[in-house]
Amino acid sequence: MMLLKTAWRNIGRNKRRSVLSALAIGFAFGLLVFSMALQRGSYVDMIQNTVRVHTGHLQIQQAGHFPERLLSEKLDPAGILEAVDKLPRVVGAAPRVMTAALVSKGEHTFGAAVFGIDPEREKTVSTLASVVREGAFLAPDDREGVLLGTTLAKNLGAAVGDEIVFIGQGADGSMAAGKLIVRGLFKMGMGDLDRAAMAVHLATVQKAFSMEGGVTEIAVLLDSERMRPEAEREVRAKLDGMGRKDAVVLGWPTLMPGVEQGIRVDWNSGLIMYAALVLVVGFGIANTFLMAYMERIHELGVLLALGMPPRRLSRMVYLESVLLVGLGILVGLAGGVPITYYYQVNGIDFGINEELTAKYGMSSVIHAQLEPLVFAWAGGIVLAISLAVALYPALKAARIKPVEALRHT
Amino acid sequence: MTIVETKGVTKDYREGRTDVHALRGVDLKIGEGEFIAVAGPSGSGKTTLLNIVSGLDSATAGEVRVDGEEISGMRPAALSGLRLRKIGFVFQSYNLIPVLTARENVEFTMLLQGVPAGERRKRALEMLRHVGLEGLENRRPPTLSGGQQQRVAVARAIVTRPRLVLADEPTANLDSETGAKLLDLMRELNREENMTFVFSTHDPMVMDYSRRLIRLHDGQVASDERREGEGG
Ligand SMILES: Nc1ncnc2c1ncn2[C@@H]1O[C@H](COP(=O)(O)OP(=O)(O)OP(=O)(O)O)[C@@H](O)[C@H]1O
Ligand SMILES: [Mg+2]
Repeated sequence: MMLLKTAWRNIGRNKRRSVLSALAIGFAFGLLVFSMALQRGSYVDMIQNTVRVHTGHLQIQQAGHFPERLLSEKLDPAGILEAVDKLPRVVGAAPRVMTAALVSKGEHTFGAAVFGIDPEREKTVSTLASVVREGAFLAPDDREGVLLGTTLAKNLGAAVGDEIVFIGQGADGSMAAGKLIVRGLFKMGMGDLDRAAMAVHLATVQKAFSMEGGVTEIAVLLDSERMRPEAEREVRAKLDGMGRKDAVVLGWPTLMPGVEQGIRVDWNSGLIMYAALVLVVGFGIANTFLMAYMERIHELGVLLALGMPPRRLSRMVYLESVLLVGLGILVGLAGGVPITYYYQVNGIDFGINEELTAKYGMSSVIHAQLEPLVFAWAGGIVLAISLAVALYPALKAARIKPVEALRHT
Repeated sequence: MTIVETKGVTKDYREGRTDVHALRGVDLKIGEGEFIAVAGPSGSGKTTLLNIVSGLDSATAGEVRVDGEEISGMRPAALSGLRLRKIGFVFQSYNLIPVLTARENVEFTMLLQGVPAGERRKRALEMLRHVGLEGLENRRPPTLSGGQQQRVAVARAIVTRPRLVLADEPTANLDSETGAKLLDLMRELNREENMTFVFSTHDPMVMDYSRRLIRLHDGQVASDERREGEGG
C-alpha cells in the first residue's frame, strides 16, 4: 500500500509531465478505440451488403451441393420454409434456384447468372426488389417475366416489354430453354450482377431446369449478424427435428469466403498500422519514463542503501509507469468511448455520393461498433507497447550501483 | 563479539589518468556495542570506509566481514538484505524521500522489513517524538529545516534497532544543542540495546561522546584510541 502511495506521489511530482504522458497514452488509446470501432462498423455494412445482395446470413442447402453447386444436388424445400419462418431470430427465408444460362435477343447472346426466385419471399431477404430501376419487380405469379441487370439489358438491346430467350442445361442434363418477357431492369451498383444476372420466377426455373420442385438454396435473413452462430444452431436443430439429415446449414462466411478474408486482411493490416502508431507514441512515453527515472537516480540509490532489494526497487519504478499507463487508459476511455458511442448512435457520414449510394440500397453512413474485440485489441496494443517500454527504466533500476547513484545529484 | 572486521582494505578510484588511493590498507576490528568516532581531514577516506563497510561500495582489495559474513563477493540483492536486517545508515546529506512525510520516511525501512502497518506507525511516531519532532510528523522533507531533516534521517536509521548504525557526519548540519540531544539518544540505545555506532565526523563533540576514536589520514588509520570515562 505504501509503495503504491509512494509511486502515486512520485507521479504527482512532475504533474505537467505526468498529465502530458497520460494524455498521450489516452489519446493513442482513444484514437484506437474510435478507429477500430469505425472499422468494425464498416464491416457491419459490408456484411449487411453481402448478406442482403447475395447469400442471406445463412443458407440451407442439400448436403454436397456446396461448393460445386451442381443442380442435381437439390434440396426438397417441403416444410422447411414454414418451419424456419417461425424461429425467433429469422427475418425472412427465400427459396432459390441459382444457375446459369445463355440469354439472347436477336443477334445478341450473353452468358448470365439465373436467379430463380419466389418474388414475395425474396422481398423479405434481399434488396433485389428495391433496386428495380425501370419497369417493376416480378408479380407473385408472374411465370413469364424476367428482370435483367441494367448492363445486361443494354448489351442485349432489351427494354421493358421485350422478349428474350434463354438456353441452359437442366439438373438431369437435358436442355433447358424458354421465352421470357422483360418486366424490369435492376441496378445493384455491382458491376458483376448488373452485367450478368437475371431474375426469373422460381417455378419457371424449376420447370425449365428439371428441378422437380427442388431448390439450390434457401436463403435466411436474420435480425443480426452477431447472433448468427446461435441462429445457425437453432435452424440445425429444427432440421434435425424434421428428420432432414440431408440438409446442411451454411453461414455466409463459408459461402462467400472472399468477403470474410477481405475483412480479415483489412482488420489485420489495420492492427499493424495501429501498432506502428502506438509504437511512435511509445517512444515518446519511453522518453518520459526514462526522464522520470534519471531525475531520481540519487533517490533510488538511497532506497537501495536503506536495504530495499533491487528487484523490489525495480518493481516500484515499474509500478509508477503502470499507474501512469492505467491513468492514460482511463483518460482514453473517458474521452474515446463517449465520442465513439455518439457515432455508434448517429453514424458518421462519409458522404460518398449520397444520391448514388442511396439508390443502391447502401448507405454512406458508417455506424461505429464498440465491440468487446475493439477494447481488447486497443487495450492490448496500448498496454503491450507502453508496458514493454516501461520495462527499460525498471530493469535499469535493478542494476543501479548505490554509491554511484548516491553521488548523482 | 566482533561485528565488523576489515583486513587490508584498499580502495582506488580512477580519476581520469591517475589513481586516487582513497583507502590504503585499513585493518579494523569493531566489537558489538562500541560507540566509535572516525575522524580525519576532508578526503582522508571516512565516507569511503563507511560505504565499504555497509556494502554500498566494494573494496578494491582486502576483506570485509560484517557480523561474521564476508561481504566482498556478495550479490547486490544479498547486500541489500544485509543492510535491511542489520545496518542503519545516516547520510551526510540526509537523503530523505521527498514525496513521503517525516513519519512515512521513518516507517520506510520497517515497511521493507514487513512490520505491520499499525506497529510501524506507532514506532515511527514514538521515534519522532524521541528526536524532538513532535507535531512535524506529517510534513514532507522539503518543508523541514536541515537540522529537522537530519533528525528524521537519524530516526529512520535507528527505529528498526539495527545491530550496526553507520552515520556519516550526522551532526554536521545541527546546532550543538540538537546535536547533543541526538547523541544522547544514540548513546542510550548503545547502552540499553547494545547497538553499535560508527560515526564519521569533524565535530569535536561527537569525538567527545565516542568511546573509541579512530583517526584516518590519507586512507590509513593514523591512530586508534579507546577513551574510557565519558558516560562509563
Ligand atoms: N567516486 C570517486 N571518484 C574519485 N575519487 C573519489 C570518489 N569518491 C571519493 N574519492 C576520493 O577519495 C578520497 C576519499 O574520499 P572520502 O569521501 O572518503 O573522504 P572523506 O574523508 O569522507 O571526506 P569529507 O570529510 O570531505 O567527507 C578523496 O580524495 C576523494 O576525492
Ligand atoms: Mg565524507
